[in-house]
Amino acid sequence: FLLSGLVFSENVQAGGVNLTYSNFFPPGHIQSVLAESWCKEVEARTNGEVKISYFGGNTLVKAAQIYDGVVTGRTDIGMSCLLYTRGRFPLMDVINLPFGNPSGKFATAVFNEVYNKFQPTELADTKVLYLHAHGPGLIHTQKKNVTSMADLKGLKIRSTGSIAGMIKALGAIPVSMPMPEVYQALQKGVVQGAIYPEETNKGWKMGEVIDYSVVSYPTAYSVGFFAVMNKDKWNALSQEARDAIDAINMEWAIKHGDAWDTSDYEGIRFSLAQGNSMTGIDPDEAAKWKAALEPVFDDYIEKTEKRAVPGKDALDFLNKQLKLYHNGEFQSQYY
Amino acid sequence: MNKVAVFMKKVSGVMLVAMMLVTCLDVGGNIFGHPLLGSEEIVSLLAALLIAFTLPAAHQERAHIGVDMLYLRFSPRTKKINDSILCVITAIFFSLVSWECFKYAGDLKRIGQVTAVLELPIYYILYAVSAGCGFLSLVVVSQLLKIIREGSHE
Amino acid sequence: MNEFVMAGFVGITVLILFFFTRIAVAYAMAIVGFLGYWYLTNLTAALALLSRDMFDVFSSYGLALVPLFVFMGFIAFYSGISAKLYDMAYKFMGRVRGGLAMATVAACTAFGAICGSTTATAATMGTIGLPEMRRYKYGNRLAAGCVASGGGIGALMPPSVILIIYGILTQISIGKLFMAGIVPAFLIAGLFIVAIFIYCTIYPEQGARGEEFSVMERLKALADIWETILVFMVVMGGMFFGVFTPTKAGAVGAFALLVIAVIQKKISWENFQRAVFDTLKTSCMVIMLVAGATIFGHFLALTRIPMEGANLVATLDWPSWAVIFIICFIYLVGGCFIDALALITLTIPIFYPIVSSLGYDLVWFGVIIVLITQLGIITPPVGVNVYIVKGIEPDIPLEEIFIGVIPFVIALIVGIMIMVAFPSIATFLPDLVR
Ligand code: NA
Ligand code: NA
Repeated sequence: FLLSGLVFSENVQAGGVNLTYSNFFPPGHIQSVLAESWCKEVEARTNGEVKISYFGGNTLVKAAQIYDGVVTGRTDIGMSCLLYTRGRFPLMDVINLPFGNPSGKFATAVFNEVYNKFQPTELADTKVLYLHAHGPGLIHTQKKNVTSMADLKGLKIRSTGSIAGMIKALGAIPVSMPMPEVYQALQKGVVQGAIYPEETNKGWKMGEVIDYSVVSYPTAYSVGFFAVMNKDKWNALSQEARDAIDAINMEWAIKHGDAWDTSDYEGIRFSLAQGNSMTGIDPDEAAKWKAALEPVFDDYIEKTEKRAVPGKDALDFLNKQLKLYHNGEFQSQYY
Repeated sequence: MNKVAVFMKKVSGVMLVAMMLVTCLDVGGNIFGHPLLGSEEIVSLLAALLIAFTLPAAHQERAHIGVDMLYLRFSPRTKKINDSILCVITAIFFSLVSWECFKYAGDLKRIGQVTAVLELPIYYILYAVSAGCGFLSLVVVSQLLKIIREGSHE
Repeated sequence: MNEFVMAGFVGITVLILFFFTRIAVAYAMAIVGFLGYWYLTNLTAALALLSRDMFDVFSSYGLALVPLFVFMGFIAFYSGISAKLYDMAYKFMGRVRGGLAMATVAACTAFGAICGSTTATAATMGTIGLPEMRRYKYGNRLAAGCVASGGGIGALMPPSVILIIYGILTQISIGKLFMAGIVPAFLIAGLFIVAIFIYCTIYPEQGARGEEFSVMERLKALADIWETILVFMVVMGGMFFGVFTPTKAGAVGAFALLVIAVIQKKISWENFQRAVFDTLKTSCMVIMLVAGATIFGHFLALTRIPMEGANLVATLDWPSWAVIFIICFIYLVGGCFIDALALITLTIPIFYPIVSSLGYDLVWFGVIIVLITQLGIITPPVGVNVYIVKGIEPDIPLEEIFIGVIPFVIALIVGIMIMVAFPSIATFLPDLVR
């Protein structure tokens, strides 16, 4: 009977184009829910010209393959994280630096502004729908509270990719492992901490196995995410549909940024409810951390120079916007 | 043909021992506060090499299992036709995989994609996977010639 | 009819027919998945699917543990350590019919506490246990069936990748889910042992009763395996005290066994080479199988059959027990064709609100789902663990193994029924901690 049910289930296909959307965020995660609502919005505002089949949680294309999957047409639209394909996005990597990320809203806005200003060739083989970036990435530890760099010495901290350089620069020992293993590793004490945004305390349940959050906003990093579409599929759409989607993208970029901050609050609430504590670091100490992290920024500039990409300009631009933000003067159509 | 397959298998053997040693170095170093950062990446890449280079030998030694319930009831003639068709399909299929991996390696080289922590280039490994699959299809072709000459292999 | 769903059913039919040509199961899944993807998208995309999925599986860190654990198994075998292990088990359990099979189930349970992958568990226990049980004249059906089925216990026993993904999808505490899995894991192990006992009572030739040994002989056998006990303690202790993650346990175990074997001059250069080559062969077989299943699974995901099926159930207006039954049935059938993790990610987001609104405990439901996917890996047509066992001992006919798992399938179904009747088996331990 199930089979017959499937056979007779109506499929609205009248004339329009059917697209697939692969997201690495698991279904239920707010970032996945938003992407799915983007699909619904596109269907509504293109008057049925575009219909989208949505696949969350790596089910159609795996996280590290999503950008490539959009280029090759395995999926028509995709959302994933820039960190998974290191070296592929040399300029856009700027957002993953510990630049002192104040919020997901700011990081998302400035990330889109960086893209618009520099139009990097690294993203030229797809149609970029919009970008977003998570809130302040912080160190979280177990048993031992960290208030200074000296406390970090010798601690094993789980970190991915380029973030490992930051951990090393601060004097801790970076340990790499796949995300699904981190919970167990913290529980067993294989690592004494991990670095991630507050959101992850609830999203991946890390709040259950950590004790302290080290709230060092001046050295907080972000991780950038992209929503991109296959160029041929994009060009095949009608002008009206493309205009409608562009308008939606602007709205949704803002929604994603706001959602990152809401998730961070929820993560903090979850973490505190588990009896964990959050400690800030004082300004003198923060200055020491910033000084220690200089090589991380130098490394970025050096790498982009090697690839003939204006990394230094992008970093300067980012820092200028951050300064404007702290003076209350930051302006962006994504903000 | 056999010699190359055996040589590739020996290379894989070295990879296996290397995977074990790299992980043990990481674990040992970890006890003394110096884990081998990114050992997972080295192990993953070694594993890919190991599997790619074992493909031809594994096929020759019939490591991959099939469902033989119906096959055993085939007549020798049917078996011969069946196996010949399978060889053609398999050879074409792995030539395609080999060619695609070769192209993919070129793409990754051009894009400059590396591993997340150690920033090791990935495209070398893909050339190896391409070679493994390519040689596998050669092995299948030589099997096909043998089947045509001598009948089905049991 | 929806073209995509139709293509999916055609793909499944073609795959099953293709199997009967005796083509390698791994190749068949990859080829049909590739053709299906081509049909639903275009050639460029399908070719990209092939190379990317193949490389992704080959270079997956989660699967890199397969060669390492299997290597540990073959070192144990060629150095005679596994023979001594089974001699010891025989001296203690040989009196009981099917005693060695029972010991193997116990070993699978212990191994499940190290390893998060059912595939690696079946491959390792297969290399150690199968030749030994056959040495003691155990029937092929019992020996193969118990290794193939025992591998699944590891999915319930923490660490378990499936439970982690389930926890993230449903926003349930992973710590709670892990605790919920422990008692059911022992329950299933117990039911497997009961199944072996009953099976061997009906077919005594499958697990012949041995002679009685004195206490001294038993103690001596126990002393004989001190090196194994040492390695086991190093591996378990290392994980328990957080020296390394479970993924690294295979490499540490293999290295420790190798050192002992070399010091005691128990492994010659020839046997070492054999251990290496057998490991390569088995690993290549296992990982190609996973690669094939991944490609075919991506094709099935694209057809949306799992989601459409789940959506259909969501619209049913049936009594709650019937809905749960249908959901279980979908996982049972789906588990035959698609990787458990992918199936869960595709369908749980649709099912868990239904299950929750019917008033069922989601922790309990997670355990039930894992139990059902355990069934999927040993039932035809795509029973990955059965194929792995067949790959390790190719002279055992495939039918024999599928027949051999029947008692364990019955035990699993009984286990699921017990869990439905007494949900507290899963929920009391996590509730205790709250
Ligand atoms: Na386990
Ligand atoms: Na199955």
